Amino acid sequence: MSDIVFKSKKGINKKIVAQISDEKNEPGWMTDFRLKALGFFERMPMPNWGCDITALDTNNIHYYVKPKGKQERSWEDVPPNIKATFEKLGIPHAERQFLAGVGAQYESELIYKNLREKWKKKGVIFLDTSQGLKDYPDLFKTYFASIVPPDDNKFAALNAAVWSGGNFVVIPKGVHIDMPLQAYFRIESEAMGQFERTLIIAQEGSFVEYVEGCSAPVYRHNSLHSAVVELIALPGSKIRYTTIQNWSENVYNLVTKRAVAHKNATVEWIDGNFGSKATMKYPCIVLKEKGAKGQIISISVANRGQHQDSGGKIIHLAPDCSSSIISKSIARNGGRTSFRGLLKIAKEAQQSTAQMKCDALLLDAISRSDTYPKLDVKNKAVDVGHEASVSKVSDDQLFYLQSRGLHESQAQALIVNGFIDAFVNRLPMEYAVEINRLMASDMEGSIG
Amino acid sequence: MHNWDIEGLFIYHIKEFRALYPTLALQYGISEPKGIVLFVPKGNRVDSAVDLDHYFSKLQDADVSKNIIILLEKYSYLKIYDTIRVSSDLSVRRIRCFLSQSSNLTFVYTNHCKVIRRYAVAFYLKASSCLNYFMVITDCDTLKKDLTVILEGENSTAKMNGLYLMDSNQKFHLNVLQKHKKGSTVSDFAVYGIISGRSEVWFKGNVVVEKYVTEVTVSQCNKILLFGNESYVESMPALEIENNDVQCKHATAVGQLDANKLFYLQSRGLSSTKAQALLIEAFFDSFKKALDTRAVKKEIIQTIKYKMKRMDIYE
Repeated sequence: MSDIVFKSKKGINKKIVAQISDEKNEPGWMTDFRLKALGFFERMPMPNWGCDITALDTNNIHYYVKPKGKQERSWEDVPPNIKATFEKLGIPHAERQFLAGVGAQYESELIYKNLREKWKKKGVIFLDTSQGLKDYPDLFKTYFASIVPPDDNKFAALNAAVWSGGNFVVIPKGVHIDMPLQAYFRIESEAMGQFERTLIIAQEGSFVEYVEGCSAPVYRHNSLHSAVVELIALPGSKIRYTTIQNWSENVYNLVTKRAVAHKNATVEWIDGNFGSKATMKYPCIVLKEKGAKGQIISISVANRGQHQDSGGKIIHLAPDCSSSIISKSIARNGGRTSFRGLLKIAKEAQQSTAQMKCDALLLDAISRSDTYPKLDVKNKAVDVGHEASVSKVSDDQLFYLQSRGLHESQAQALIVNGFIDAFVNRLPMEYAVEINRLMASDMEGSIG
Repeated sequence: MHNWDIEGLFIYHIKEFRALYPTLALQYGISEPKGIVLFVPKGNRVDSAVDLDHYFSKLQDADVSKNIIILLEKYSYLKIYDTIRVSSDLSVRRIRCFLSQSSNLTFVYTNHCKVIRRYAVAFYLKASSCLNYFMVITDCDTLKKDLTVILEGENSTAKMNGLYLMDSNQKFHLNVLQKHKKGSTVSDFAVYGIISGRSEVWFKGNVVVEKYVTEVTVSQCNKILLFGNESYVESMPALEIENNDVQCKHATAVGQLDANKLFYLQSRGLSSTKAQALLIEAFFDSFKKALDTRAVKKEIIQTIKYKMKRMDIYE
């Protein structure tokens, strides 16, 4: 492709990993880190649970693709063909209207980033991860891979070996960013892997909302998205991390996301899974210190040929913490949704409150829904509960709406939008409108 | 054949049954080398409840009571009490129950024995058959209990209720499978647990609704009161649903007595112990109401009260 300046050979080995590190001009410790991670990846077996990823050939993927064009500060300076892709996705428009800063990743690198001037003056850092490593080496090294170590799981090891792109965000003490930061990721090349690594540090008393979206065109060969996201919410801070995933149906989406909430801090994962061939993603919050709060709201929509295996994990390590996991899933046309949830209460976590709720909607007789929650409780002074339900769209509700003049598909779309309301309510307005439109067009024709 | 003097019920050694009823033995896969078959022929209603422990204790070879097959032919009715008493030396028991069309079985299992380690019971329900199952476990050292219900016929119903009381160092594994292979079926499972001391409980529940199986109603509920500082609970209920015309739900709750309710009762003059006792009774009141077999209800409630006095749960 004319807009690609470098593309690694297919497959992964020490030479390619060293090449990636060399292209990015990284310090020695990062090169060693990558090579050690490669060792973990090669030794660990593929998971034998969850989605069927037997067709994923990790030797048939380009692990690093660098597009033409350095990182630009102004939208006008971005190369025209790359600009066209993101304009179709509405990125600069969004930035003008609603968002505090935008980063757009194309293939393996961050191309365009802008941060509102007032946040910059307050010391907010919003850089691509490689730039963060260069500009803030000590801070970066303190927190990088502190929550998701390279031997955490096979795909975290892969990401640790070949990571490229992603964002490094630091919100200084007491700073509240009242408009969301945004990032967008796109895989353009066939048989390509995207391995962004995002690290967000909210210092004491700060607040940030971060929104990411992702997409890819449809190709014959499979692509792989294996990102790692680490969030550190220091005492009294709040982080809300929203993902709208709409990968095309040839993408394997295998992601590790984990957050640590310190004293009286709050972390929220708002997770929307609409695309990909197979998604395995279980955002995790560790409530490490007293008074921490965590919430995970997730929605998964699986269409023909898709398997959305998602959920959430919350681990209570300290007293007086509270958490909730709310999951909604919709399966149609033979799609499959699986929810995996974990609420773990340690011995020291007295006076914990934790709830997990999972509702699944099956729109036809050929789709499938699974629910696999787990409660692990080691302290008696707690209130922990879980409930789940699986059903179809209520006949009574459909009849009521049709009796008011709505067509059956309109009625069904309205009910489904009500079903996912808990998720949509948490999105910035522009995303909420897009999700409602996406669901409405998706529901057309899905009667039954 | 054994003579247990119960009208309508015929009891055989497995080998004997295979010789007399080879077709039935083949149909139900009865191939164990040793065991007992309880057979209720078509249309028979066995009004007297069958106390397995009472009859098995008379057998010379106690090993035969480890494998039990219960066969109910069409339109038959049977009530079984399987009480594993304190003095029993039974370590393993495996029971398979086959309910034919429109048959009805009430099965009450109570365990007061520390020796028993493995207890597995499976029910296979044909069209329009009905199962009422009750389980009370007050004593064990380490017990693995498997409860399997396969609804193979339309309009079959299974209602299962359980209660377990664990204290000191008891360990209890409960695995429940509710599998719906035909439509218009109902299965309802609810279990209540009270755990104190250093006891540990693992609950693994699975609800499976196969493809093209419609009009199914399923629920699975596991509620636990924790009293011990060293107690541990792990609960993993699962749903695997392959049809949309269903109503399936499950729920798990783990916690302690509500402090507000305790305060309310004490503010009305009840002592702390009495207030706790009242709330605990309310906790498993649903189980007591569901236990409609009068003959055994009194004994079970007394057993529960006796066990709770021995548990270190009142402050």
